[in-house]
Amino acid sequence: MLISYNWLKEITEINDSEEDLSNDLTMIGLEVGNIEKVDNDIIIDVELTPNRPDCLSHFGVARDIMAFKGKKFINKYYDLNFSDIYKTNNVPDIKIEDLALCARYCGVIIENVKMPGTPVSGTPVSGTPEWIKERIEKCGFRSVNPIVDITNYVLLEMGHPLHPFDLDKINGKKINVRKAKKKEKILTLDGIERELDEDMLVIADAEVPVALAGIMGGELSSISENTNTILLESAYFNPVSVRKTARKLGLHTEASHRFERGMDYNGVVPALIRTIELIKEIIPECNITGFTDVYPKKNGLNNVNFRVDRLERITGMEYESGYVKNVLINLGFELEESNKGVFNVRIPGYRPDIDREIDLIEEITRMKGVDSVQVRFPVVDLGIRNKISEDDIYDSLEHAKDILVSLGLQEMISYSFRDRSVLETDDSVEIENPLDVNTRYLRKYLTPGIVDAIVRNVRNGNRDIKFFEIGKVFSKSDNDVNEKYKICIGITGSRNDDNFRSFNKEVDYYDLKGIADAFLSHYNIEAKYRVSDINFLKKSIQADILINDNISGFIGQVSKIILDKYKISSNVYILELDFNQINDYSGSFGKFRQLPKFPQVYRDLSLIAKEDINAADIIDEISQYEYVNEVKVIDIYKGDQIKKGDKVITVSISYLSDKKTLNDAEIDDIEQKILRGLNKLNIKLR
Amino acid sequence: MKHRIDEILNEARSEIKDITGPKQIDDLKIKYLGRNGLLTEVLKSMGKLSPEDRPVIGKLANQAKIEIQELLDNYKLDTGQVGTKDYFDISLARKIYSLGNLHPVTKIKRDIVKIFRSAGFSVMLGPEVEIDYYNFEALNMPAEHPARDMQDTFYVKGGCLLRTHTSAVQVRVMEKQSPPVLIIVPGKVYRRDDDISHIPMFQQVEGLLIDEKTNFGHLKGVLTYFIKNMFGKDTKIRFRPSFFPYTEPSAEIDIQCVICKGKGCRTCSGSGWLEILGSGMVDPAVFDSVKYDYEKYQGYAFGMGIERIAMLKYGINDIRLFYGNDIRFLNQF
Repeated sequence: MLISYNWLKEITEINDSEEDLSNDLTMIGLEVGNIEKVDNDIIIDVELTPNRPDCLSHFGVARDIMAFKGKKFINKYYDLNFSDIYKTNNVPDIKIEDLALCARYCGVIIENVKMPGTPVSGTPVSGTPEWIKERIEKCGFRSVNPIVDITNYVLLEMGHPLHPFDLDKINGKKINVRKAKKKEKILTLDGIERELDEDMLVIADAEVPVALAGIMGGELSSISENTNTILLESAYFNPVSVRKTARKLGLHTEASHRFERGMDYNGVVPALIRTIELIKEIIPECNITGFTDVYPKKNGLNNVNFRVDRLERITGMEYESGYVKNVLINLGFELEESNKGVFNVRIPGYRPDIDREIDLIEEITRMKGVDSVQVRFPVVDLGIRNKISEDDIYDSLEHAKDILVSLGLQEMISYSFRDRSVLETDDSVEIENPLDVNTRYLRKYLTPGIVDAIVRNVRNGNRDIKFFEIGKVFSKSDNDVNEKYKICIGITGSRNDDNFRSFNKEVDYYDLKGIADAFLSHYNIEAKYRVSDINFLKKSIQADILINDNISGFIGQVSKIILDKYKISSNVYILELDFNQINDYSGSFGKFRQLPKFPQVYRDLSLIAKEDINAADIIDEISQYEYVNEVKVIDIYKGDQIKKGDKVITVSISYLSDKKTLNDAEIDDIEQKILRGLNKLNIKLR
Repeated sequence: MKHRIDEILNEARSEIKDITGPKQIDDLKIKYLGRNGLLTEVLKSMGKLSPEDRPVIGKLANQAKIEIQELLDNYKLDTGQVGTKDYFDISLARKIYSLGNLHPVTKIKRDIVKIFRSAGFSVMLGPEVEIDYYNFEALNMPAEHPARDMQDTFYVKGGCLLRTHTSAVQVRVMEKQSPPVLIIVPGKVYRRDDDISHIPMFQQVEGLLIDEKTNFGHLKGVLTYFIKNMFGKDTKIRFRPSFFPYTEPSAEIDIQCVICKGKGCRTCSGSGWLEILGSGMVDPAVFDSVKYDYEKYQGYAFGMGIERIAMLKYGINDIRLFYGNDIRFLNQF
């Protein structure tokens, strides 16, 4: 809302600098944004919150700032009676068909209107006096013709939107405020023809709609230089109805903005009187010949019971009844003290946002100054913790992140929306109004997000990436949306940062598996890996991860088909795991074990086995023998000197007894047992 | 045999000293320690030795193996033997260990949660897909209310929506328990907004405290406590009235612009202040929704955007960088 500093100064008689004024406005809740010097004036942009329709005018802002300074703003038009000022003998033919959507409609007929020096309507008019033109233009309006300019002036001054019709263009010279009929159309002032529906309130004449009530007038009945007789409308329209209609038609006007937020039932006539006063001033020879105020069901004012002690409990401060009384009176409230510190307050029609005691408490607080409320630091009761909490889940999520960071991974966070990628299935959650086609679904997997991020980084020249993300994925089940946390790791590029003497290698599947093993071992989880058949991973370089015999995730190399789509040539390895399973199945470390009293003995064994036997199975087999402490694979060799279909695996076995140092003969013995057992699996000593 | 081991060891030492490139390391490893390597052959032929000789020779052979292995592993071009006149550059390092790192939003989120936990708040998380009732209606934002304009919503087919603020969780918690309530809710929220200063998904931390005596002064107190801990104890703070449908009285909290120190600049649009928090006393309409007795209980709620706090603390100037996940951005924090 653009406010003219000069205009405001004039009506409030406040002489503060624009900085002080802006600061005060901000501190009472009318936050000032931009301040701009325009000619010899200063235009202040007040960013109003939606609950203050009363401040959508200079009078409204004046009232608030004067109350802050302990004065009361008087709108001299507010209690005037139209018939006392203007004698008319005509009653305009106006009917309100839908009282729920329009509670009050005033119409004034003005005849013999000859606008001074008007050229074709729509172009700047010399007929509007300079002082009106200047003020409306500074506040963001375009000058059209004297009549329209005057209504806009009153809009800026008092805040109530009026609309003038060319009465000669109104069929039957009658107005019916009604809902539109199916398929009715109207050509609005902006030159667009609009089709209406039966929920929309229109101002209609004997035949057709001539205005969208509270939003925009029709082109055909608009004021032009040829207009002789005017029907001036001032009315109250239902906020919800105006808002709905404006949204449906994609319209947002100064009028609709105000009606949506709630205008003043009692502001209808004052605005009318002021407008006529100005019209008479500019066009002295015109005649006010008709007036009607259709207002069958008068809207009573709100009454609120207000307790000073409640104000004190909410703010923690003390207030004098006298101070409270004065603030409310200055803001335009009427009150009686019904009991000590208890007031019965009547709320003026221009404050539709006030209908409860708490609303008045806010008024006092902001007028006294939110600054003035004393800062208090409560002593924290150590025993108090909220009855329910998700601290455990939060902590375990954050802890998992710490473990992954310690394994050298960089956390990333990606958007929860995706397009439907090769990963998604029919139970993906769909968004009705996505921002674009790439964000139509909620993600069911984290993998696409990480692959995307990796691709973008590789394209920027950063080839070495080790990402992880822990976040929620979504899926549909019946009518419900399931949310669960997953962990995702994606790596590509060099194993270590390139550096002198590091002799870099590229990461591969085994690196990612190493990370997975380390991560799971932290939780004391033993996972099983089983070759899988996931279509976005490279065939045979992928596995399902099973925890407690449940499939909890997958690991593998991203298939070339996917990476070709992105046109990158690096290999990317991905892992995804259910977080809940980690949490549920993580084991404790058991009881303390005595340190070994006797040294381990290491022996290597070179074995020949068929290609398709997994190292894990060999290790499992050897591990079951007595005194075998640890088994590690230290080399795998295929090729020259080895039969096709075979491979050589070298394992390092450590032997340990808690009763003595094992001697050669005993170890030889165990080795023989091991080899016999391996023989049964067709694994022989090389 | 012993003689042979010594021979091999000396030869290895000499050849390793002359290494000029990485391939040679591999070659030498194969030559001495490979399947048919010189030392390996010696080890293999230990079977021919007498049982008395075996342990001694075995020990020597293993020692030689370890030494050769170590020399190869720790190969440094620019060191010579101990006591040599060769220059040793102490400024170099082998960068094997690459450190992992948290996302800056996670770091700030943890800082915020930590401060409020120290004041007694417990963490609640809540679902990201919400129903209209918890996200709007129960928070005094009925359908068609202009206040809803302040938040453009993503709707999910089937009737749910993506939560536009973490405030929805407040209602869920209050429905499940009676006061006192003392919670903070960090989490992702979604708004249909995508331009130079808005992203469709961002993160908030919301707080709620309800008991029988907490007032506006305590609200100022806890937020002052938070700001001083987050931004420094000399931070200038400003509370000013505002409007939210679910709090009354409401206030927005500004800190003095970290860039211009209050003089006015582009970052603070000339005002000298940066808005960081919204807050207020919980509106009676919300109490009605959760059936708390408004005469008996009162309390406050507050909320902040984590990215905004991160931008102020780290001097980041473009909110879109957070979820672009460019490693050159993430690496900086």
